[in-house]
Amino acid sequence: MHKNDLLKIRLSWFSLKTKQFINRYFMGVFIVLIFLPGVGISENFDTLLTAICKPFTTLSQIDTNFIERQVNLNLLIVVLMVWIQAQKSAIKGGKFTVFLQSLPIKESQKKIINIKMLLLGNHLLWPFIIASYFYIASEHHSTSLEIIRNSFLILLLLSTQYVLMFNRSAFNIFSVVGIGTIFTFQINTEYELYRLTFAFLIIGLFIYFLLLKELTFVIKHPMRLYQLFQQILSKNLYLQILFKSSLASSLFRLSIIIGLMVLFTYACHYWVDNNSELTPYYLTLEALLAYFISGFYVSILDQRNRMKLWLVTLPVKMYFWPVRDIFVIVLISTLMHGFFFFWALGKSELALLFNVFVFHLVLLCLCYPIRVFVIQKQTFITFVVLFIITAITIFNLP
Amino acid sequence: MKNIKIKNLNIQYQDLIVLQNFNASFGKGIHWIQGLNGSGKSSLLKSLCGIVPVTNNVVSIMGYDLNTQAIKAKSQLCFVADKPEVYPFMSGIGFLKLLARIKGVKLSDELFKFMDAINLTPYKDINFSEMSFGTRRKFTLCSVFIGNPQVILLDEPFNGLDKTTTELFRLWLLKARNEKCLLIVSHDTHMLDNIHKNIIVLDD
Repeated sequence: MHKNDLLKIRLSWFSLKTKQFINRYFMGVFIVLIFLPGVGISENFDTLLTAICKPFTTLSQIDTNFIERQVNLNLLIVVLMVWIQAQKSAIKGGKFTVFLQSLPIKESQKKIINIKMLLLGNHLLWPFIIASYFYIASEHHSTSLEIIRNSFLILLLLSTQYVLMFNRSAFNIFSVVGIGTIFTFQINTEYELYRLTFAFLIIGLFIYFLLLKELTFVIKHPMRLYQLFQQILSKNLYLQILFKSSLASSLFRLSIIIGLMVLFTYACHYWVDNNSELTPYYLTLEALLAYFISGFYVSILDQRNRMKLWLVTLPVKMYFWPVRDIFVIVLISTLMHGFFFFWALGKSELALLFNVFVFHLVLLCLCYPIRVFVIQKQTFITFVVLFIITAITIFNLP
Repeated sequence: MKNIKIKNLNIQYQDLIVLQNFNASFGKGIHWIQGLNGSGKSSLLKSLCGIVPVTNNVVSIMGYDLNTQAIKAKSQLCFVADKPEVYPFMSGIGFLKLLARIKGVKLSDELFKFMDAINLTPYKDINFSEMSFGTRRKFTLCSVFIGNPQVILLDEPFNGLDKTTTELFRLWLLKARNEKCLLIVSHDTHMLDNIHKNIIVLDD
């Protein structure tokens, strides 16, 4: 009887958290619009939309060759996997599941519910996996070995997610499936290389999440730097609130993701001759950046809102904090975007960087009050407002 | 038979050793755990109910090993955490019904009487997200009436409670101590004045 109850409350939690996530995703989309990936800052909006839709249009075109199709599918799957991993708390069930540990519930029941939640949490991913699976099977007259490979790949994906989300002691399952996957690959053709890259990317993501906690801990405790940092922090309440939030881990996460995506992009450089084909990958890069920067932005504001009532009781002038928030976010996002923009296009005009900076400043100044006063309600309407402001700004900038 | 037996319990968070080779056994009655902040009081309770994992043959509840006979052991206990972390969309009565279904029992008359006495009945259909901290605490405290647990672990049970509820719950503790094992972590020293209790002090 209670099996269904437990699944039901987990589903309700998933639904609640997903609604909250949507707000963050929208913020990510918004910042993608600001970043204008892979195209000039004053290029029109249509170009941007075309770039965003590129992976989907490539997949749907009849004349797309197999390798392109495979790369785009893999790209979408990797992006969605990162997205799903970000929804970990929604899938895992939050803090109430800790309390449930004290109740007489069979471990097998918990695992079954966890697996069901994981499968459900992957709802965005399943169409692509199934499409990929059947495409390879139908187009290439698959041998039984190929079918085994593909099954291994899907199992690898699911076991990776399970290990990352629920149980690190299930590392053995991951290792067995991972090794099985790699050993069944014979690198005879180019598309095998792509699939191998994809497998390694999954493993890379796994290692990243596995190490994240420990490395973040180390990063926070290199003794001298840490002490110096603490001294500076102890003198400034604003910096305390900023850095005692999840900034350190966010930045670390960001840098690892950037590293992975750089590797991915280099791999694409190596295999794809025409650079214009790389736009979707830069877009992915930018989307991930945008996602993490938006998360950082949200975490600062959440932190601030949680402490608001207490902060007003302190003899601290808070008038300029919003300005500082904008400055910090603009600085980080501009640096990141500047780096990738120049790196991607090989341009080095200082004026362009300044242009990007001003562009960010204008947009963030516009969105900050909306973010603070309106988006907290997490309604769809606020996204529409942001979207319109962004669109208008993009059309009106020189 | 002792309700709780602990043999060589070790609790460690990364490099921080919280409890090392801790041995104890608790029978019926009130056992009041004291200690400084960070001395491992809450961690001890969490290890006794399975939230902090323990190895085999370290903790037994009513003769059942917490690890190998987890279902039987956990059926005999009730844990009330210091912070009520319940899903925001769950109603008060929904939370209690869920606990009852997990334990395979029905909500008792004693529970409903207690809810009436502490003025909780009007809030039973309200979601946890809309309750005050005190009301949320009251609902989680009511879980002690579900399934007749023989071992009750209470982490700061008096936090956030109004005067009437505190007094009524204190009276219930007095009554329950004759048939149950009650492990209480609390800094409110005056709450347990004039009550015969076993005091356990956890040192650094």
